[in-house]
Amino acid sequence: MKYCENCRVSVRTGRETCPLCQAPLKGESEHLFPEIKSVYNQFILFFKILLTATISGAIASVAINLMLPESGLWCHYVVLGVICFWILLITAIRRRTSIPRGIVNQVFWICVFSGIWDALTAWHSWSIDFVIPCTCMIAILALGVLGKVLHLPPSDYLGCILADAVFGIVPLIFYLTGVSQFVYLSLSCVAVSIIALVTIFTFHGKQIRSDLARRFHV
Amino acid sequence: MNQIRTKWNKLDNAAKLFPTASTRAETHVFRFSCELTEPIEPERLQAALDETARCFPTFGYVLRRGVFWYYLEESRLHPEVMPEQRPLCARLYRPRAKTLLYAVSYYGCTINLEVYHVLTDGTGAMHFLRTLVMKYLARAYDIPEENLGYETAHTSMADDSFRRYSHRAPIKRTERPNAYQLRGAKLSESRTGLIRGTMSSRALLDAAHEKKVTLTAYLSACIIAAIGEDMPLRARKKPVVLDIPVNLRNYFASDSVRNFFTPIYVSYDFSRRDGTLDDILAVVTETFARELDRDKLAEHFCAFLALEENPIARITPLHLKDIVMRTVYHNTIKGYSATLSNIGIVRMPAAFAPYIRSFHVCNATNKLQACVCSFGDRLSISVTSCFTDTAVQRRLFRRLRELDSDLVIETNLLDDDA
Repeated sequence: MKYCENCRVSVRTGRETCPLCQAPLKGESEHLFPEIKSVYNQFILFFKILLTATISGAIASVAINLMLPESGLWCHYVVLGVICFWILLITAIRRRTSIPRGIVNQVFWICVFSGIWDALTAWHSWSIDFVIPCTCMIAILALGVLGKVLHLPPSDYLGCILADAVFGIVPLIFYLTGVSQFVYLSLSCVAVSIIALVTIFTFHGKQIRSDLARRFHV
Repeated sequence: MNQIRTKWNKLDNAAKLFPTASTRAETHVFRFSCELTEPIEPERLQAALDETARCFPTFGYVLRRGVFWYYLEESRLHPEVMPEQRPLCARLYRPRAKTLLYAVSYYGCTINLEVYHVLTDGTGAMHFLRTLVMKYLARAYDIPEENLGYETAHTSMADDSFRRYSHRAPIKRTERPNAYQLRGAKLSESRTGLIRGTMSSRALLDAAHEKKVTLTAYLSACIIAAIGEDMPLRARKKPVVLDIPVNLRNYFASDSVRNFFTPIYVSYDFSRRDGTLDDILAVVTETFARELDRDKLAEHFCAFLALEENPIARITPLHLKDIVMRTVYHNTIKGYSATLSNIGIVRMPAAFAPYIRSFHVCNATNKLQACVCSFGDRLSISVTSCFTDTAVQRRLFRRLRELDSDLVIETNLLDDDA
């Protein structure tokens, strides 16, 4: 035990100075708390470099585009690309703790972005013909497989399959309104979604209902 | 086949605010620790923890986000004993992560239990730690286990006592003036600095009784005095306000190990009064007499409950609610300068007492917080703070040193911190 003559108290510590008055302590050291290492995240440097690089790239492309007006307007693609990249990356990192929720989240953003890009690049309807149906189908299958392989508790992934399957029925609207030109994938996606819905309700109906009651309690 | 029905609980009224209000600096994690006479053996502690966790099923719940509210859901996660390697009262809950809301660690002779406030309050956590320590010591020294004197029926433990004792009350807007705030350089990485003093309970009780006040009232006055002593003159127009959580189990019968407390506020205006300990004591005693009344306390928590039961509040999506509740919380915390919570006397069966040196409690804070508990004749006053400056602690402990020359200071601050 150490002693501070200034405060006239005993101090159990490994410190050289009194925590109250910073006067030097006399006596024997004692360690009641471990020395905790800095929790400074080593990944932060990587993200700082990535952020600087992408923003510099976007700014440089705007500058070059303005210098070469004869090359047409293209810098907004770069800027938009950088924004999409960061939204996808940040949402993926924020949901890294739950793989199923991360998948649902990525499906949503991929579908939204593909629609935006398709619209910006003279609408060839590749987003609703290919990207949206494929993403939904892959996600539903991936969630089903992951749930079984990783032995996730049903409450962790059934809700996610449900969300994805409901989302996967949207291409039906594209089909019925005649927006989609290549109908095979859209219809397959709708079929897979409905089969997924039927399956989880048949096998896990009670679980799904109790999940929804929990998630939606007011 | 997996279990069909997952057990779950709504958050109790006090817990509703914590998930939105918790940040890296103010984690709402508190720590209960017990210093034994001999170094901790991890395997034995793990075995004791496994058994204790089975006695407290609500501790195994994880926090989830619903569409309208957060809720607690049972999990199959298994608590693991770890050597202490995280900062004091560091964050236990990360949004969207499925992690246990409590952690048990050890260092030297000390067992630490850290708990996220959503799960329980001081009373519940103390039951858990006492059980854990008893089971550990029972294994270590071959002592038969004893009843620790709390209700062990799982339904009583999981009771939401706010709801049980609430009556319909209007939503009340209480306008309180902003309180004086401590300022200064903060510890790096949003860490919590702890300075605690252990002293003789008898000495402090004698001093309190000499002034004809309770121990809590006496300590409240000491803390207000320590804060007020070198307040900048310009800041004196704001009162020093102490936030004191009151354990409602003392006023309403409850065996719940979930949250069941409500705060009262003691306000002292240094610009209008003379600032002597006797005068502060008079104000504190008067406030305690006024506020510590069954009906008054009920009125207080029923007003909060009314807020929660408001139909518009209920159907607001959680994302929006998060923003509103964060604002409400930030306005609330402007109303007090520091917190004092007195956990009271910790009792252990006589057979176990010789192996226990002391119990301590502390809490993460973005202001200054004192947590008090006593075991035998040793009273532990843990003052946590996010600031590097320790002037308030110095004045407080130097004053207490005058009552007991055996006051011992312990700290987690390193030489470079302060």
